Amino acid sequence: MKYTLVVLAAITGVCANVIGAPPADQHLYVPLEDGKWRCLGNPDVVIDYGQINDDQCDCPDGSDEPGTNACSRSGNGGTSADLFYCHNEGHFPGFIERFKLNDGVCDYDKCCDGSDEYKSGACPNKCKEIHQQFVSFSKRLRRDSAVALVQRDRLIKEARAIREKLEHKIDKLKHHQKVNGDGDNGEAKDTNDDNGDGVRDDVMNKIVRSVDAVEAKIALLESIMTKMMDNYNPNFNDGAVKEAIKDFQNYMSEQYNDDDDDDDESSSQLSKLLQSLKLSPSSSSSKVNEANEVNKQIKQYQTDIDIFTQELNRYYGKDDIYRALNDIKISTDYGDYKYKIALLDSIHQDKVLVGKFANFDEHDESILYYTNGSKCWNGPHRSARIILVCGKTHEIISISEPEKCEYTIEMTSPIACHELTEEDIINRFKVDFSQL
Amino acid sequence: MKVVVAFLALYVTIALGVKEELFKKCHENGFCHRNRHYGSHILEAHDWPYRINSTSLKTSAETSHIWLEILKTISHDKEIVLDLQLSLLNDDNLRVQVNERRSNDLKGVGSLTTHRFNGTGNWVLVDSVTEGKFKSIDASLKEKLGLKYGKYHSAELTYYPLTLKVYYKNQLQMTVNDKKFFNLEHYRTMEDNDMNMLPFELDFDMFKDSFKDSSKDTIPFGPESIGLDFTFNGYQHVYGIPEHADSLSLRDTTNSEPYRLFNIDLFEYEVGSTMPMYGAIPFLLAVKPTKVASGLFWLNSGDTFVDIDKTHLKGVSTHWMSENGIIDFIILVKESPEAINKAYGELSGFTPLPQLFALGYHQCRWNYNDQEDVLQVHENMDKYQIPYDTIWLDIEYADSKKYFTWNKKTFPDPRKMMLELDRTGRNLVIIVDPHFKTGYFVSNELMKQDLCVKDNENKILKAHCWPGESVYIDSLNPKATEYLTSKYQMSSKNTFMGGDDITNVHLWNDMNEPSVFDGPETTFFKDTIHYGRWEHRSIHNMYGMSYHNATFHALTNRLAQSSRNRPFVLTRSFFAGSQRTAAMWTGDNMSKWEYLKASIPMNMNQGIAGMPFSGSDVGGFFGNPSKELLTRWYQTGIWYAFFRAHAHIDSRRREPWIAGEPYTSIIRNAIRLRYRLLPTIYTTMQRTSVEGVPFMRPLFYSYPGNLDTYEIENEFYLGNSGLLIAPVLEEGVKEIIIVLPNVKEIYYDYTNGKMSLESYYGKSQIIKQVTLEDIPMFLEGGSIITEKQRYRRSSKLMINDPYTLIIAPNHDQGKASGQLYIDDYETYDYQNGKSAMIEFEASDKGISSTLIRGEGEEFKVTNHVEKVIVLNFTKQYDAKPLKQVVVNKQQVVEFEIVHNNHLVIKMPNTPMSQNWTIEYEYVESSSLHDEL
Repeated sequence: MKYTLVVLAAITGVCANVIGAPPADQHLYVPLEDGKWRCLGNPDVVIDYGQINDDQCDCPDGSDEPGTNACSRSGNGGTSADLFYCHNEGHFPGFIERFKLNDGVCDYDKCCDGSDEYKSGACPNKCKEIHQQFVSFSKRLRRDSAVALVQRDRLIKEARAIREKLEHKIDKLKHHQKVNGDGDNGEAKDTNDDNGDGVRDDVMNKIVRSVDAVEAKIALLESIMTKMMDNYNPNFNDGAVKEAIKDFQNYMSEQYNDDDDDDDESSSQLSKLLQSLKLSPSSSSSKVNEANEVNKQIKQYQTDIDIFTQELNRYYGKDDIYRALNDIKISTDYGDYKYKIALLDSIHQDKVLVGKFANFDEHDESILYYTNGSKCWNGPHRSARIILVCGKTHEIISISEPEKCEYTIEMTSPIACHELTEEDIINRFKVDFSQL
Repeated sequence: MKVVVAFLALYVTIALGVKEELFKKCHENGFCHRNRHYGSHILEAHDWPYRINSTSLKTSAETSHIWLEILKTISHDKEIVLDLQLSLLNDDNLRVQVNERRSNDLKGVGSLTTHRFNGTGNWVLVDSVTEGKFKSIDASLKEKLGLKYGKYHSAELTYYPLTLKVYYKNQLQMTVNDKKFFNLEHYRTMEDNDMNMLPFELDFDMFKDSFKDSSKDTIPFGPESIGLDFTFNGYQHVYGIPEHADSLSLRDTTNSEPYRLFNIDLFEYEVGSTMPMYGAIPFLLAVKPTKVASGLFWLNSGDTFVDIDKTHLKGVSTHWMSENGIIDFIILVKESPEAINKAYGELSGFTPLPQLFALGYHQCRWNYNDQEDVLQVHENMDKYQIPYDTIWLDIEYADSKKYFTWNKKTFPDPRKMMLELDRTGRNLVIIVDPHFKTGYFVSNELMKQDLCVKDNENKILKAHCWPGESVYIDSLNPKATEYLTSKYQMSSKNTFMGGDDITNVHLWNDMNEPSVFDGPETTFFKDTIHYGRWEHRSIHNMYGMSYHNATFHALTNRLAQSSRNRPFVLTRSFFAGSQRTAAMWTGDNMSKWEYLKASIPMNMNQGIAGMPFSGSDVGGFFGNPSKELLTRWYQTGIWYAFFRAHAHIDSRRREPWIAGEPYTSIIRNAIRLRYRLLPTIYTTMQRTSVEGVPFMRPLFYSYPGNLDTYEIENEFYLGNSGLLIAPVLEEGVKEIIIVLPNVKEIYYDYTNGKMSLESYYGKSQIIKQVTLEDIPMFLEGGSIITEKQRYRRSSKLMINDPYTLIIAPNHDQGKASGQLYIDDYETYDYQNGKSAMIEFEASDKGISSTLIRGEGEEFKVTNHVEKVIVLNFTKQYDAKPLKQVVVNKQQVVEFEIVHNNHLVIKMPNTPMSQNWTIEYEYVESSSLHDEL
């Protein structure tokens, strides 16, 4: 969009030549008949034309100083978006924040022509070199992008194939279920076995007793460790003690971690246990057993159908492309840790769960969020986001922890690729200062 | 299968707060316990063991030294002879030294040097100190000696009971040994101890240490403590003797723990405590309203306790007790606290003028995880348009905490990182502690070159710190400085420092108390052995200084040939003299309001004790500050001389943009205010570097006549700029009470650096409404400050920006004056005269600016003045309306009256390189008549 301004300026054909104002705005910097000039954002403020770019801030909106930092005030409460136009002949015109003008830094990333330091002239024009960098970057990017797009198409095809396979499976199961269900004699449902009760109570009591004993032991150990954690001398760097305390802290965090769902899960565990006792072989006749078997089989079909349908209906991004990534696992050493990433499942840092896949970013599906990782000691649950950038393969670019226990992982993937526009390339281009 | 945990009620709490039981209280510390006991019993004695042998008087030919014998009577047939020496330093500072005569051959002390350690003065006093002459020595009386020295000083030494009285303009200021606490435990063995004890003396822990953690101390010399009391006659307030997290004015300790000076890594220190901390400066200032102030400089680097007794009408009395060494102290009496600071600086050195960046904003965290992280934070500062100058790396940068190495996985290309920071004028500070992990090249080299601290058996000491088992560099050995110099050398092979062209990397010395995780009181055993065959006991409080001194000299050597050659070193441990080579911070504070509050008296006491380049971790080190606390801490932190945000590794990220709005903008405004005031701040630091005045200046410095200012510790001045600051230090408050120290002067409300309609006169205190945005600030009538009001990314990039002057006319005559110091901000060329001091004068007639160049090479000032603001112009000069403003007698310039009151003059880019004037032309009263 910015580049159309040049064209515009050419059409309007202004006579003013006010440094810092883009060609398209030059016509705004024409004096009134009396040699005065109105501030652009505050037309009621009239100043002498000569006060434009005189290094004194006269207009409340700063429009009189497009070519200096005179209006880049310290105490304005917010950030400033006032920009200076760099011609950048031989490259693309650019805009730079005015507070960067004449500060001794050659901000070639914005002004390759060095015009941001026009007072000292200390920054020679590097547009040629930078454009060279840009051209080779652009070439490389386009080439990689072309390959990546092929990869992306392949992934889309793969995703489609997986989908078709699932649909096929479900159809098949439904068919089997139907066939089996027709042979059902209806007697199998009555499978209650009264003899089981005594045994069950016995087993249950045993379990309860052993659970009680284990709990008591754990409580005792925890109280010992808690005492140690609260009272150890943190200044004594006994590695073993410190590590044990740290592990214990993690262990305790994990405990509280589980609090929320503990009751549910345990009761379901117990009920499952009961279920299994109910279904355990007893003195019943073989006929009943047979009926049970058939019944079980039918149930199994239904379960499978449910599972596959659920999988089929799971959201895999707008074009279903992420379906092809279900099995992709990336593992890499980064810093002092080994990271294991299963893109649509979870992220681990060594053995610690960083997060489980939760959702895609609602505006940009190349950003994935992971939540509910293990709890940090004295902090939140770990969480992460993965930002995918266009690339031929799946590789980790960087892992950072911008907020304690919140990770940001940058990763390449063909998924994030799309046809590149010139603007995309310009936005992604970074000047390599070490080559200038 | 998961087990149901029924024990959920077990609640995890984190034990916070200092482990007091790890540190000795006075009654657990042999010498302190014995001296306090001695003090409480000597009061009841009828005769005293110490007296001067009047026949022993000797003076040097040039009357610069006086020698006398002190006799300590043990029994009718046993006397111990001590040597007393009186001398003058820099003309009028009286130095007193007392030593015992010891044989070179003492039993059971191994190879240790046998005489008492007398080297503290050599470490502390600067080479330029001269010895003065007594004007007169009157020995005509048998019972006392009369001395006259300096312009207004005199002293009287009474032989029995032994006392020394010091007078200034014939007024008694100080009485030494007023309470007869003078005590020197002379050498004896355990076997003959009974024959060496005074009847009322206690023998507690003379030859052993019953404190559990230090019970292995062999105490080879037995008891050798010293004790002495000083009464500050007519004084109600004493200050200084940092480092303690306590009030500005020291409190009475007669029924509690004395202030202890013993450098330790006090983990999770508490506020309102006399416990020792990371550093020690045995310098005390006493101030009273009658145009006189006194200082006491106790030159002892061993474990020291100071009792403060405020229960006497005579004045504050103090009792000084040290574990060993000689009695060595200097008495300073001057006309003002400022003059004391100057005299103290002339003795122990001033803070050298740092590079400008060191006064900018420092962004630190334990830790920035990797190179990407560092550069991300760096980029975000610009993205959020928050100025900053320096980013810091704590211990995790190194491979397994082996200093002088980089963790190659997380920092693959440190040089590239340094260069990228340098591009926009940013600096990097890296930590290098004095402990070195065993088993790598640095510790191997130190062992091979015999540069390690030794245990009491003279074997290399191995103890635990961050990296695990480590050796400690014996930086008392001059060769240790040479070693560090080689490590920091400017060389292409020095990949640790980024190569031979990197000049934006500076250093941080932490854990140099020294911190020893498995040592008694978290430090060395006192019988650890140092270079010179001295026990650690003798030098403990100087070890930290010896290390940062060595670092400073090594870094000086590295940067010597560069265009930015003023080194920056931050230290946690310090002693008197540390100000010459390092800045300090107040260590590991907590993210709590009381620590924010305590930071002000702590930093003010640093300034009082001659080490004003100090600061506290903004945000608090341990824990997670609320957004409000973090914001208030930035608003306070911008006034620390050393302004750094820091956080513990377990705390959440808290770089300024994380808090979100409105906090981020308020924090940005605070940091930008700091940068805007850098011209005034740099000028303040320059004054400090030559005059020693505190950076955060207590109110009583300006108004010693006003006793109500003596305990104000929530307000302060920015040096002597006239800017009075009263930051908000409490949670959720909507108004604060502000003390205005001079009812006869105007205080212009300059909150957040903004012109205001409010000004105050004739009020000793006001109530001010405040919002979260507010940093209450006032310009005192009579002052002129300078600002650079344009935002830049770092201080280096502001160098060519124009100045704005803020003028605050005084009440009586509408006059004001101020100074601006400028140099190249980076090199030592100012020492050759390449600097400029600009003096501003203002009155109802106009304003003048006079440039005074340094003598020598010419310094080119390239800046302009863009704006001049005269506060309350209309109110102050209300006789006549202003007609026009003329610059340099020729140019009529634009002006504006804001708020119907303040005059704003837009300067025609007036160069600062020349003297300039502004003249006001008023509408003549006659023409006023005409118009009417």
